[in-house]
Amino acid sequence: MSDGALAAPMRLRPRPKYLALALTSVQRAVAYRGTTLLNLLSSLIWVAMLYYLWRTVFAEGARIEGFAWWEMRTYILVSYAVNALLSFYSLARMTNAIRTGEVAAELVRPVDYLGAQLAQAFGAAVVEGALSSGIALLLGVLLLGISPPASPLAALLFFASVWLGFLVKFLVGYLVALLCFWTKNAIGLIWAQTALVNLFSGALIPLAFFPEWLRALALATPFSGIVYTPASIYLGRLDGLGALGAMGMQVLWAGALWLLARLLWGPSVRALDVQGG
Amino acid sequence: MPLIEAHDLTKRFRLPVKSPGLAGAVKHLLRPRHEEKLAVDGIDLTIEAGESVAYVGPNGAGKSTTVKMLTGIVVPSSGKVRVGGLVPHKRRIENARNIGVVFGQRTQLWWDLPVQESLRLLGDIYEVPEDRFGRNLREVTELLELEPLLRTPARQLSLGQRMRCDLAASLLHGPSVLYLDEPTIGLDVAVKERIRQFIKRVNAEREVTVLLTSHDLADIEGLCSRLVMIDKGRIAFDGPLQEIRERFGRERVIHLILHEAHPGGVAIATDALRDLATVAIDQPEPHRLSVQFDSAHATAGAIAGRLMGVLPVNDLRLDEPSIERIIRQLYEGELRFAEEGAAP
Amino acid sequence: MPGRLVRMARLYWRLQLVHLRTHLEYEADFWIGVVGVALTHGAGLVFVWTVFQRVPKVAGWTLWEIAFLYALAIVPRGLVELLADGQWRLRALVNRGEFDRLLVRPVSPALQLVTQMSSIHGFGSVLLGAVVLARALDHLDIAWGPGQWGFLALSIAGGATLIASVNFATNCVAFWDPSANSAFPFLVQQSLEFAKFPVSLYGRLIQALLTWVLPFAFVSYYPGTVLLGRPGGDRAIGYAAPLAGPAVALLAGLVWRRGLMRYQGTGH
Ligand SMILES: Nc1ncnc2c1ncn2[C@@H]1O[C@H](COP(=O)(O)OP(=O)(O)O)[C@@H](O)[C@H]1O
Ligand SMILES: [Mg+2]
Repeated sequence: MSDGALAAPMRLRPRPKYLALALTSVQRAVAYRGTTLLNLLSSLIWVAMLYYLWRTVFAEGARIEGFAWWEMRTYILVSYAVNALLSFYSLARMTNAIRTGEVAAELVRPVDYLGAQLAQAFGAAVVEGALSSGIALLLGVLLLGISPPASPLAALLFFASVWLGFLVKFLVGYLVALLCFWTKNAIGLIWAQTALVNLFSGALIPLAFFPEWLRALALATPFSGIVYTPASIYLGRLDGLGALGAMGMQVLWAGALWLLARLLWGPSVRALDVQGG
Repeated sequence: MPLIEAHDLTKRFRLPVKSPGLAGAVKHLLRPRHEEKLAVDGIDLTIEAGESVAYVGPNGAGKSTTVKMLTGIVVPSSGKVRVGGLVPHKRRIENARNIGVVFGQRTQLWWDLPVQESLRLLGDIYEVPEDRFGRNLREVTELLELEPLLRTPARQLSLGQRMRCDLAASLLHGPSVLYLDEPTIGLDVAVKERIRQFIKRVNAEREVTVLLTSHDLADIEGLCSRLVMIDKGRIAFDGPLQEIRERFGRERVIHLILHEAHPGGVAIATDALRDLATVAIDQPEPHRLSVQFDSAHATAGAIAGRLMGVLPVNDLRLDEPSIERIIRQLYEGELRFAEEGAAP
Repeated sequence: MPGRLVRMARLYWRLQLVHLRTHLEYEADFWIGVVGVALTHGAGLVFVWTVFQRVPKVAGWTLWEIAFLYALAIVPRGLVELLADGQWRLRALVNRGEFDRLLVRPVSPALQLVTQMSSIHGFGSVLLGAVVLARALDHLDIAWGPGQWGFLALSIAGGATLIASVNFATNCVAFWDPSANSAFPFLVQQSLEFAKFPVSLYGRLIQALLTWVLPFAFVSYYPGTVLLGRPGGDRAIGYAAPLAGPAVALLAGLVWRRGLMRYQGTGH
């Protein structure tokens, strides 16, 4: 591109395509902030329920598995903010594209489908994350009382772990979306997925509170990396090698799910052909 | 007593005025601002049972709004309306039993159901007795040739097929009035013609009163005997279709495209058409010529034939007057043709 | 009058049959919907169960008492999703002017609206709720006879009426602002989640809201306290709880009527 005269009114080079996709998605999330906000508010209902329930419980027994009431409060808000990334709607958007046949339009573009979906999910998650952290912070400081991260290092690891968790959550969602090449009832699938994620990620309850066998089961799923790992790092319950180990698990799961997504792509697209779009 | 009576019927729509964006939405919530849109402006309309009326006007004239008030879908802002003695929006359900409605842009049918199922469901909704339902269904199926479509879901029908099914759906319960809001919009000529024939028959044989709207005068050719013309919410003309046709509908324009630029075209054409009653000859460009004439006194064929003999004609097109033009002429009181037509 | 009701019931059945058939046609979707929603409510139950692994009672409530209320909240909701979920289509219908179609037919448009949609996942809620209810009754040591059965049935019917009416009324926002997005009715519907636990656990403000503004406390908490024979909760309110449904239905009817008069259609 040495011909400055010709290129002058235009952009010298197009934006990198995945960045462009992510930015478009940010724009969309901002444009539909009503829906984005609604989604965050409706999960606040559960935050309120959990808050009151645990308040009652902690008023009777002072500590559970080493959690004090102030830690539990913080856990509720942190897990809310973390779990808000990649909301129900972002997941629904992915599956909807497949259900409505919009996917056909995406398939003819010169981008990798998985990469494009990730870029878009990331864009939306940035907005969702910013809003949810804002809400959690506001509530935490004004009403419920929240404590800061255990240490500056914990804060740093927490941030990294949140995005690793996001990657895992995205990949789970993506795999479920692939299932929609076969079924029409996408909403049922998303519910099932949301329920499993809520329960086993620690979004509803710290996994430490589960009975032994259930905890083992939850920790053996990729879900625990979505909320429990970052929230534990935030509270300082996981630190040093423990934190790194848990983050290693997040990376492993992300890798494994990514591979699975790649493997399932071929058969899924063939199913689309069979349905005739 | 007339079947449909409207007096000074008016509909004003209230539209919220919103500034864009979140701030605009909040501002609107705190202090709502509205602006009014006068869609139907004090019309008087009387239709007798058995009539077949064309309700014509340009887009946005207020035709659909009138139909919606007559069917009870929207509540008039002021004025009186009665259909079969009932005020439609107050006695909506009773009124609904006696009417059939077809909206050109949307369907009555259930999107995912086979047409047959939709029709049967409508039979239940309208409480049509089994035997009468069967008879009606057979009749419309035959007339509209629906047999091959009955097992198809509505979403798979073409526009023309869907319209035929919708027509059938609107008649199953034997209504005494049929409202058709732009039923031929977007259809091709052959389907249009078929639908026109069908409506005509329904009106003549079943004595169903028909009110049909259109924004295209050519659309109602030979269909209705009475024409009501509406513009900007007001009735501009109400009388026999024949009258409009005679007053304004006879003007035609032939446009000729010449093989090569022919500067003296007007003189040559004037000369060739001397004994035919042409009104004006114009040559907007060196290779274009347009001839305006009165179809009561000359035929397009005769004019084209003569001109082709004297000029190198490549192509030609015939224009009929548009509804906008007729309305303009109505307002301007241009009665030239009528006067000329009256003189021997 | 009875003739009219019979006719409405018949038509209702006819219109719902259309949906039923679609549900049964797509067998896999049916099960996915049922399992999906059962998991969603199930996750909440596992959560409750886990809490009670740690403490024997929460503010005086036992595990099975809370499970009872939880079930009382999801059964009526499931019934509404299954039998009267069409309200959610009102905004789309009004927005595109398709609501016209319901107005030119000789049947109550409310009936036509309610039957616009049926969500099969409601079946999952009802099923799960019924199982939990039965198990809870097994574990709870309460006097249970025909009177209780009757009151339970009334409560469920009343709760379903209440939920359907609230949804119906909130979706009528479409008549006032056809461009409105789904935020408002959806958020209201979501606050039904509160009814899964005893409202006495929540702060005063939320309790008052759930009693007087969005009266979801009448779905589970008030009738539940009567059935469980628990002290606390106002007895009189408890016995009258099933009436809250019809009362809200009347209000919804008023909103609906005013909305109908405002319907403007879309221009074309
Ligand atoms: N629901 C509505 N809200 C606001 N304006 C409307 C509405 N319906 C119609 N209008 C306006 O009223 C006028 C008449 O509309 P309509 O009766 O649909 O015209 P026509 O059917 O003759 O094309 C138009 O200007 C249209 O924009
Ligand atoms: Mg129109």
